[in-house]
Amino acid sequence: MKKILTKTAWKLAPLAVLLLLAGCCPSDDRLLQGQLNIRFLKAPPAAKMDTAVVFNRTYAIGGRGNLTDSSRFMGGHYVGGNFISGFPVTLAADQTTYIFESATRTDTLTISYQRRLAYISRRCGAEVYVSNFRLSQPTTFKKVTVSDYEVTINL
Amino acid sequence: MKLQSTFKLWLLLAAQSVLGQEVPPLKPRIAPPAGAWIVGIDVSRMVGNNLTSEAGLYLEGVFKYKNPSQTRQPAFTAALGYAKTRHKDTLYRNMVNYRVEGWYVKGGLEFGKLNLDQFTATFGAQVVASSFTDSGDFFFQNGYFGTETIVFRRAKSLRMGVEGVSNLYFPLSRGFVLNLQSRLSYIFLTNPAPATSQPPMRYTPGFGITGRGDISGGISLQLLYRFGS
Repeated sequence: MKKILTKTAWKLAPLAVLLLLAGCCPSDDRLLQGQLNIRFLKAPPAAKMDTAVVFNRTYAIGGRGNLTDSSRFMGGHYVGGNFISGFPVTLAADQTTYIFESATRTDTLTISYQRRLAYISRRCGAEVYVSNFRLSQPTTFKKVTVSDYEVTINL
Repeated sequence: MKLQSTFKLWLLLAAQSVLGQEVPPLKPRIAPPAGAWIVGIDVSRMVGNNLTSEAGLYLEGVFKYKNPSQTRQPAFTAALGYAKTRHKDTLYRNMVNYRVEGWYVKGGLEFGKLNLDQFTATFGAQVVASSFTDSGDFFFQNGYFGTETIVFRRAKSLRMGVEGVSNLYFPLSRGFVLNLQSRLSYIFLTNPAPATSQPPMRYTPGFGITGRGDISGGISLQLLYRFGS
């Protein structure tokens, strides 16, 4: 029995090595590339979550189509009412401009950040780390605060 | 008074002995054999490297000074080169257009009796210094934004190393000679040293394909022309 187990272990050894090698690259690029979470609040003093926020169309300059169309998202971004998680940011520039279109108005929001290119290995290539999000330009929203990876917008 | 007369007499005798002496005829001198200047270009860098993954412009001029063939003194050898290359394929999973541009100089000694009138083998050692810049485009699949590119650009780098070479000279005619050169290089200085978060220097002008390693090697073919004996 012990001999059979030993033989089996030797046969499976190359597979284990392959699995080990396959797992050395950062598995999820989205984590490295940074994501924004956007939360909408009503204007003070009734500053609470607005579950009725609906934009007809939300998109980023340079992006492809409507951001609130979940089929456009890659990697399971979620859009629901007042909270949007995993808002994508472009890696081609140090800022991303978003356009929010509703039935009555169009708002603009530009978020800037720092990009850091880091080479991992020959097999894994390089990754980009995005951090230090901040509001870049005057926005048409009443009030915007940015902390870490979350943008809070007062409507 | 007597002393002055004696001194005058002595001067007179000395002048007669010098001026009156016959000058011995000049003996015919044999001129020392002259050395030879050898200039040429590295043909393989111009043609061969474009067949590999590093396409581009390669220029290398070769200079040698050969001592007279009667001696076994080492020959002086030097080279000046320029390279501007672009890697044809994807590198490191997500880099394209890896580009290198820079100059290099080589200088050293070549040992062995360098007789360019017949097939000759020599070996030598030289110091190599290379100054260059390299860059590349990292691409990322960024979902909503599609494929995006970030340009990586490294500051100017200086690399120095030593190179051992072996030469096989094939005389083509009275003046032209082909040299098949094999070389093995060791880089002992890289300034500034690349950070671990930076990709390796895949190609270094003057050294060839290097990567993160310090050792490089290759074979090249030089077309040389000699002036002198």
